[in-house]
Order: sequence, then structure tokens, then C-alpha cells
Amino acid sequence: MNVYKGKLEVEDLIHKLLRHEQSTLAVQQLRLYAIHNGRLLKQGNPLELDPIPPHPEFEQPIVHEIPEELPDNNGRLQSTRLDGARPRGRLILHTSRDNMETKYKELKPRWKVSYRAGNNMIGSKKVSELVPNTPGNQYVYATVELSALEPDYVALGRARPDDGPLVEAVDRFVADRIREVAKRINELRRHVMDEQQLDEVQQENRKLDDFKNRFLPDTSNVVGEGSNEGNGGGNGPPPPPPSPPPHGEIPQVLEITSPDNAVLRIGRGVELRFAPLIRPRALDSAGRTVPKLTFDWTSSDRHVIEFTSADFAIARGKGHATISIAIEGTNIRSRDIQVEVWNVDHVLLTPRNLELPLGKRKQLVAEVTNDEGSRATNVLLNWKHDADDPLIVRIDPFGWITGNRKGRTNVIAGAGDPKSDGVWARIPTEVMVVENRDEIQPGSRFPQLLLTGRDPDPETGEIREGDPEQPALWQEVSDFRSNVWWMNLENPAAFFHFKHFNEHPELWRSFHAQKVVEMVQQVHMQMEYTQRDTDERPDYWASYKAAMERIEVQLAQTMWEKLTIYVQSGTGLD
Amino acid sequence: MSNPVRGSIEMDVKTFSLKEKMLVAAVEGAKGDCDMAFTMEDLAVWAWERDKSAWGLRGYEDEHPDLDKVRKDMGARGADSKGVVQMGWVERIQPRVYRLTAIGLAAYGNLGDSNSDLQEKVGRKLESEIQRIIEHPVFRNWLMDNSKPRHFREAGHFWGIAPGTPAATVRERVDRIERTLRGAMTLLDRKGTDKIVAIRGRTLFERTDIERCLEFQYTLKSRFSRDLTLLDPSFAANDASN
Repeated sequence: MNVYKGKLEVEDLIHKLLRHEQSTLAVQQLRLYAIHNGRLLKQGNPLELDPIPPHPEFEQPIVHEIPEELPDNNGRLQSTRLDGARPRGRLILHTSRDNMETKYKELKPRWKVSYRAGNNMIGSKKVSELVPNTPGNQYVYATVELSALEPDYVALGRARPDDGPLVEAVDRFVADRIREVAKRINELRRHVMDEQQLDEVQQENRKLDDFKNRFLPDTSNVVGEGSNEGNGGGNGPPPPPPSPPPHGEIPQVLEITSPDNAVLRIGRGVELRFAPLIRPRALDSAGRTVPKLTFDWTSSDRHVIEFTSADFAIARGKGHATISIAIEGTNIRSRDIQVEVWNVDHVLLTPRNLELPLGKRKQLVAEVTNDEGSRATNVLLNWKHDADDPLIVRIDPFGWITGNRKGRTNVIAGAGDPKSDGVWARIPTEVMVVENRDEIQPGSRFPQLLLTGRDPDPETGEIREGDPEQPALWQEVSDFRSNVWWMNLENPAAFFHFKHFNEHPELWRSFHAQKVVEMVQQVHMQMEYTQRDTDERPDYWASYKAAMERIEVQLAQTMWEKLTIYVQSGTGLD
Repeated sequence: MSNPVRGSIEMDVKTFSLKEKMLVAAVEGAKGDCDMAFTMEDLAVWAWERDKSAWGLRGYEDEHPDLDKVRKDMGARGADSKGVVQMGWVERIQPRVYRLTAIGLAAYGNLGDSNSDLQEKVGRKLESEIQRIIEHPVFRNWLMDNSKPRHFREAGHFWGIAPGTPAATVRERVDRIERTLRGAMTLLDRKGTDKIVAIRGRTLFERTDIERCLEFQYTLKSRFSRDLTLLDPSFAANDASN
């Protein structure tokens, strides 16, 4: 401990000791008093932990009676009363106004499930151990009072209860109850956003995303060169901005990635976006991409496949149809894409177990049998998994799965509503996302800034929802692979600015522009520090910081010259 | 004195054939654990404890088991009489040391009504065997492209055989997969269901998947029958009889 001038403030010392992880349990177990120079501190009261303000709408603790019998992990019922010899137990759930995991000094040591038998403390477990990856779990902690845990589950030191079938069964019960509260808290923390406002922000985001391209580093100078000169060590100037990519102005053809004569097979009831699958691209006479165009999607038979909005379609019924895409306001059309909708009868998934390192991508094979007995593995299906955290894995309609956050989940594929006539795989693939020992390679796609709640995730083709627990400029492992950043509107700061979009648009624009500048800085930093291949060397933090500041100063200056006008007037980016 | 496992068969063991009685002894003696090794002597004692008149030494039925009787039913006695090893119920891991197989466990489950503990054990063991087939890269490649595998070495990889493997081993390994799948199918038929579900509601395996695995096995056998006959000259005759 650092002691300034050889002295310690006694109150300060007690405060620091009390919040220490190893003290928390002792303070709960024992009645402790502090005496200084023969004088009882705290007016002679025992030391106690600071009260934790509860989460709004959960002011009172939630008390559950523990059922007399609970199933353990093998499905066997365990008596929680030692066959009637002990009283019934209870579970008390408390909530916290603040994120307990991130307040690591005051609240993290108390983010636990504590176990008591009568007046005796048996130990505790971290909430994250019982409900890993459950959004909102950072706001819940709990106490289990169960007499039957003594003496069989009392371990020496009482740090945590001994493992065994009864604790296993109780933990399952506790986890389910915590999950319920965590989900409710997570829903409360989500914001309802005005759709029209979202559309406008999406348009602005596209403009800014386009604008930022002028300030991206020139990749041709860096990738594969393996040179330190000019690009590393934090000493050289940042690479000069590349000349804007050549864009066409007048579209001539509409290109798609679907191969000629290929038939897209889709399960009946599947809902999906076609743009990430087909990737339509308008080209001018010189073969340059013409940006900022809107496409019209049409189906030859809406009873087979129906477009409900833009490229989002539902496979309505068995049969054949053709899809065509046209550039809005022109006669330019893509070639037709043949679609065949199958009545799915059975889905076989393989493998049944998959270990997936973070950031890696593997394919799950889903063999579909249709009602005529035909089989294929290239049928587009909807995929889902059962983890509380939707971002553990990202799966596209072809079954390509990316490990995004460490954890375990069961993945299934199928078509339609399973409660009515939908058919889904009955045996899931158990996916475990584990640490990646190799370096995760950034994606080769062009860096993009997308908007949560509006833009589809390139990894799944589905709209990415925001997350209040993530930063405003958000990038997950899978996003790093795809080279995308998200403007996370659920972030409290982002939402605050978004909320005032109508009354004070310049407030939002200022925030938005700042995030774009940050994103460009990150692209530059990433370029400098991740793409030097074998020449990449660990460096001092000071060097990284110096490089970051250097990039910030140089980029901010040039970018804000234009952004100032944009923030004030909403124009000036073109 | 018998020592049944939890979930032992609620059925009159005396109505079983000698081989079935031996299977019951092996499953209950090994407590349904397919990883537990046991000797022929262990099996002789387990079987004798359950039916002294059948497995006792002649004239001393109540005092001593007869190892010779057990040995006779373990191995094959001519082409028409397969022993429990040839039937795949137990496998030899060393001279005179054996262990139970998934096929044996499934056959035991098919002998009578057993309780949930054993059903779970049978289901889980079969699940892991079927999973091994379904997850095999050769099977996955076949799902994606039915013209694969094109070379015998790939099929050999699936079966665990290669040129030079002794004929008996080739037969045993190729048959083993089929017997496991058929055992699972028999279990489904006997229960009159299309899937086996674990206690907590998780589906362990289902009929459609087993049918698909069997189809794959027959495809491989027919596609590579010439290679199999080269390795095991009795293959064509045995296959025709099956």
C-alpha cells in the first residue's frame, strides 16, 4: 500500500479494507469493530458494507421460496429439506442501480450469490459463474438461505459451498430466477426509438460513412510490405489520405454475385434479407461502382416468395419463382434469380459439437429433407441459438458461424414457426466459443460505420440491435473480422444525443461526427499496429498513446474543417 | 448372490438364451459402464451368481462357476453360431480382458423393460456412437455431395481400415457400425417411437438420422465392395447373407 508521508487516514484505510473482495465475506459473516488508539470507531457500531441503491422498478428484494425438490444437472430430484428434516429455504434477489461488474472497486466484490445455512455463511459464487453472458446480469445479486446445505456442503474456509448434487440443483434454480430478473432489467434499459428519427439518422450516417472514406489510410502502402519506415514505431507521420475511390455517376448495369443458372433453395417460412446474399452492385460504363442507389426487389410469385420491405423476404409457399432487382427510377435490371421454396420435413445438423475459437468462422452443415424425400445441404434456413447473450455467435443463413464472445450455446436451424407448422432440427449443435490463441485477422472489407437498430449485420444478414452496456462506437470480434463499426444508439450517451435530434440536431451531429472521427483514428491505429505481420513488435504504452494522439491531431484538423459546417448546418459533406 | 445395477431388467432371466444371460451378467456386472474392463473370470462369476444351474461346474453347480462354459459362449462356434464377441456385445481389449460395447448395451435394453437410469445410459451411449458417425468428415462430405467419397481410402478412414488390415478386423469394424445403428433402430422399434429423449427432455437421437447413417453405410459398402472383398474375401458372401 502506498503511504503518503508515512501516514494513513484511518477512515480511508477502513473504507479500502471493507471494499476488498476478501473482506466482503468476513464482514457479512462476523460482527467486526474498528478500534483506533483505544477509541471505538463508527460510534461503536459494527462495520458494515455500504448500502447498494436498487435498480429502478426493483426497489424491494424479490424473495422466492425454494421448492422442496429440485432437479440436478442429471435431471434427478434433490430434496432441499433433507427429506423433511430441515425447513424450506429461500432465495432473495437484490438489484443494483449501477452496473456491479464495471464498478469494480465498490460493487464488483459484492456481485455474488451468497449461501447461508441458518445464521452461518457457507460461501459465495460470482453471479457470472451461474449466469454467464446473460444481458442485465450485472445488476443482480442474491442470497440463498438453505439449512439443508449444512453440514454436507460446508467447505473449510467457507469461501464457496462444496460441489454436489444439492448445490447443483439449487444453482440451477438460482440461475433461472436471476435470468428472469436480468432479462427484465435489460428490457427496461432498452430505449424505444422514433422510427422516422431513426431513418433520418441512418441517412446522416450513410453520408458521414461516405465522407470518412476520404480520410482512410492507403492500404496499398502498408499491407504486406513489412517495413517499419513511415508506418510504425509511432514516430513517422501518418500515411497520407488516399485519393477518393473512383466512383461512377451513371449506372449502366446491375451486377449480382449469384452464379448463372444457380437456384436458390429456401425453406418455407424462412425470413431473410437477400442483399447480403446476392450483393447487387450498380456499375457505370467503365465498370466503376455507382453508389447511393436504391434497388427495387420483386418476385414473380408472391405466393412463393414475397418481399415485405426492400430486400427482406418471406418464403411463403412451396414452388418456383424468380427474383429480379431493378435500380429505382431506371429500366436497369439484374438478370433473374431462380428461387425454389421447399417444404422442410427434416433437418439434420452436423457436427453435433463444435469448438470455435473467438473470431474464427466455421460452417455447420444442415441437410434438409423435403416433403418429397429430396435432400440438399444448400437450403437457406433461419438459424438461432439458445444463449441469453445473442452475440455469443453470429450465424448466416448458410450456416457459417463466427465465434464472437466466449461461452456455450446450442444452435439449431429450421424454417417457419415451430409452434405451428415450422420444422426445426431437433438435435442442436452445441457450440463452445473458446479463447483464440492465434491473432484474429481483420477483415478485408472496406471499413464501414453502421447504425444499430437499422443496418443489417454483415455476419448474419439480420438487423443488429444496440446494447446499453456497450460503447457508442462499438466493435465486436465478429465486426473486426468484417471491418465494421457500429454507432450504438442504445449506449446511454448516444441515446441522450439521439433523443434531442429533433430539437437540437446540431447536438446529435456533433456527437455523431466525433464518433466518425474516432472511428477513422481507430482504422489508422489498426493499420499501423496490426498489419505489419511479422514486423509487429510489442511496444510501450507511451508509444501507442503518442501514435494515437498524433493521428488524432492530424485527422481531427482536416476532418473537422468540413465537419464544423456539417454540425452547424447539416450540409457540406458532399 | 446377484448384484444387479440400478435399472436392471425386470424380467425373468431364465427365459433368456445362454448368450443373453451372459450379456445380462456383463451389463449388470460392469454396471452398464462401457469403459470398464473385466476378465473372463469376472464374467464367469457374475453369470454364475445370476444362474447357478446354467453356469455352475457340473456336480458342483452351487459351489463353483464353470469357466469353460463361459469361454464357449464368448467365442464363435462355427459359422452359424456366433459368440457374444462376434455379435459385438462385448469386445476383447486384451487376451481374456473384455469390455461392454454400445451394441451390447442396446441389446440389453432391448431384452426387457429397464428403468430410466439404464434407459438413459443406453440412450447416451448410442448417442455418442451415432454422433461419431454423423460428425465424421467423410459422412459430412457425402451429405454435401453424394458422389463422395470417390476413393477407398476415404471410406477406409470412416471404417478405420486400410489395405493390409487383417480380414477379421475389416469384418469386425465394418459390421460394428451397422450393428450399432441396427441396435439403435431396434430400440426405437421396441419403444414404438421415432426418437430417444434424455431425462431432461434433450433428444439424443432420432430415427431419420439413423436411417441416413444406414443409407451411408450401405452406399459405402456397395461402392467399395470390390475393395472390401480384396481385404476380406468372405465379404461378398457375408454381405449377401445379411
